[in-house]
Amino acid sequence: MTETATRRTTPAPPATGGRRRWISALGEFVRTDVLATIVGLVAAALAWQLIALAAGASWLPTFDTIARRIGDLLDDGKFRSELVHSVLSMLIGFALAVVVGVAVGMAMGMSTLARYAFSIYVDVLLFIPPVVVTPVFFAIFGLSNSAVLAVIFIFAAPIIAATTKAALMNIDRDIVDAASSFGASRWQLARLVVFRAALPMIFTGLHLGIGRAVKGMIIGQLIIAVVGIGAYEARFEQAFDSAGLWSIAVLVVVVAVVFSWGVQFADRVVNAWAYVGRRQ
Amino acid sequence: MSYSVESRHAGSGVGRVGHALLRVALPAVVLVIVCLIWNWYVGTKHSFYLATAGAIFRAFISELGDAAVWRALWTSDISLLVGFAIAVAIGVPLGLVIGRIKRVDRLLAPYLQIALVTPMAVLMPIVLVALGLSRTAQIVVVVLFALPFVVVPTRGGVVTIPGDWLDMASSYGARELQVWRLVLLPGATHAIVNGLRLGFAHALTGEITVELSLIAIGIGQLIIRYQSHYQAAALFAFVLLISIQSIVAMGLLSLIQRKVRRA
Amino acid sequence: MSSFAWQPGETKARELSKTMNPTTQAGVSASIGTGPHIDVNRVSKSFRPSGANGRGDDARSVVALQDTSFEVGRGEFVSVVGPSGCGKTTLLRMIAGLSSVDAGHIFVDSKRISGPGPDRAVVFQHASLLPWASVVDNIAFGLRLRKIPKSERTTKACELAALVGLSGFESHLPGQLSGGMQQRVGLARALAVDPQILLLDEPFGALDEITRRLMQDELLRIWSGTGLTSVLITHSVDEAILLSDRILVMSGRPGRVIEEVPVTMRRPRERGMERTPEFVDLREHVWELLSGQPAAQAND
Repeated sequence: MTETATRRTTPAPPATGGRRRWISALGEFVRTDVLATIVGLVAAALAWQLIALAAGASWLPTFDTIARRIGDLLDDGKFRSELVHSVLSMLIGFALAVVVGVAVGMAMGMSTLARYAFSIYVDVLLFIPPVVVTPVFFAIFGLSNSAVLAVIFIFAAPIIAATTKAALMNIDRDIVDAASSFGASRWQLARLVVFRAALPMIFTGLHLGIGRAVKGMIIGQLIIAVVGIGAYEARFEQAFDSAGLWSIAVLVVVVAVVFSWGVQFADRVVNAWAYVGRRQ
Repeated sequence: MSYSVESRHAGSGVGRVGHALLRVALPAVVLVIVCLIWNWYVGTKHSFYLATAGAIFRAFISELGDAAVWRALWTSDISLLVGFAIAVAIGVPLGLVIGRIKRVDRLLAPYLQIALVTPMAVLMPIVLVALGLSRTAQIVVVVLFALPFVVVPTRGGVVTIPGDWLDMASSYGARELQVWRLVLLPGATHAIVNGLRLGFAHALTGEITVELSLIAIGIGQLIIRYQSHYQAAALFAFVLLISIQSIVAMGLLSLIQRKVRRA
Repeated sequence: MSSFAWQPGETKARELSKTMNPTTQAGVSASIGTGPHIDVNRVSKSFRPSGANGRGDDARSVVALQDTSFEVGRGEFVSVVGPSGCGKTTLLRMIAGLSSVDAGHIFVDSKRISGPGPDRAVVFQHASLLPWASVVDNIAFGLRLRKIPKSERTTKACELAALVGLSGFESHLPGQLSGGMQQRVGLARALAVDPQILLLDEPFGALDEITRRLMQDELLRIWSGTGLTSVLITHSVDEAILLSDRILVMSGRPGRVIEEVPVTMRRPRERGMERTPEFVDLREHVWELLSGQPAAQAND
């Protein structure tokens, strides 16, 4: 289901030229994954409408009610700014997680000492539910945006670090050997060969990380509930405003899906070489 | 060092004992450095919400003997275990069916994808509105968090069974139930166990999230008390205790998973 | 499947040979005046397998090469044959500078080697091309490491692509090429850096029989245009006889050179030579030497 576009390992029919490669990789992605998701969402909306009409429960408003509510919310300037604010926080937190996560992961992948020093902590962070750390950040940063950023960071960074480390340890040693036989210095090796070879798997980590970053944003904002759309959630909840709550849920789903697509887009642009050709 | 041209054939320079020592010493050094930086930071901030590493450690020790702490943990654990059990009871059969019937699989594929990526936390307030501030609501939240991560690996386990095996079974005239018993279930066991482990991890997240944000029955209540009484060291120590409980639980599951793998 | 349009390449080979090493008479003896091109002097190498399982240190030590010596003259094509695990690849890696020597020395042009160098280029068994780079970028890789400007290295790479018969595939990715074509890229990449010595580690070992034969013809053609000092590791006795001036037959562990077998058939070599009595005798002789050897242990 998620394996629609396979990465190539066997010969395929003749290629298009270099620049057009990522265009065709993107095109295939849009045609398969993106379209399927959109169709799925539309079908879900229809199904929802039917179920809601049948059930008639106060906590399950009909889809058109929700759709209208979303429209109203998006019209509201204040809500719009809070939404934008939340999304930006998430991106900043994610960017931080990427920078730190990839750096630590690369250190662990390339240096045994770094691996000994850090991997136990990365593993622990992967084991525990990141949400436990939320009270800690609340205590350090107070009721503020920085606290939410910290939560987003701690949700996303460990998986990115772990995947990056695995990516570096799993690259094809033969290629590194071949490159060094031509006299590549350690720096040239790292820059031209090692990093490039690890990129596809690093991007897998980024994909996992963006999902976690969105979770971190929501959970962080729910718990530290004065900023962003978390605040709106709290207000709607107190007012038993189901339509409002569902509206936010739908918007969050849309944000999550769009960002997931964003990472996958970037993956196909950067690593187009791994997606060239028809899928099996 | 890992990429010297000789790495494939290098003997161990430092020696095996040396490496074992480093594996323990280096993380310990990192821990000490972090504690020192932490204490320095606490020193500069003078906040009621912070405590030194030493104070946290002492509070931790005293909490180990505090019955109220364990009661709070257990209260939350009940929701966790019940919710997880329900998620497994629904999720595993669901995953098996989705994996087995191609039409159902294609129908539900985008929703599973969305469920994996969406934070279930957004649905928490809705559950609250529907079911009130109750343990039932908590359990439902745990089920929601865990379910996708039980269903998807289970489905994966069925889908990746080699077609050859199924062909072989049907060529011997096996009926549907026999196919399940003899081919599908044994073949999918590893994936199902993996799904149990992932599902539990997310159930844990769900439980802690709902306690901390909306429905504070067990650990959430204790944390609120520590916060309102400015008992910073106790709060941090409690967070540590919850983390350790999580590590132990996940560690046990990983152990079980490895045992299953060897069987 | 793969392209064998090498007729245009024929001319390219002759043109390129003018910019590369001067063609020399392939000779059996050491070259004129300056001593052997490669001098392997009493070389030994042992391995301690990594991934320790806590047992004693040297108990599982493996002696790959013991007291191995031989020379390679300038412009000479030498093949090394031997049973699996006799240390052939280790030997090549040491000459290439990818592995260190435990005992003894390796001299190239009377200078001790201490790592990879611009004078030696390797063609690997599994082409080991950069999967994200096009054919031309792969060929030009060695040049890029030396900071040759892009236009210059692209031109040279395109010429070499034509030489190895890959015109029209310059923008292809390795993943879009067959095994034989990838090996051609590997060969072109090695030639691009104007090496003095060409080291080939079972370059055709992973190919099917038909492609293998065609690649042997290719190598003969290209080599005759450049006359590089070459060392070829191969499992195939026929291949060794067809391509080389001298065959070094090695023994199993510990690895040593048992005998040096000269191949005095005239050059340029042709397929028809495989049926001559001289060829058949050589083959018999080498097989005799090889079949007296024990095969390698399991932990290769």
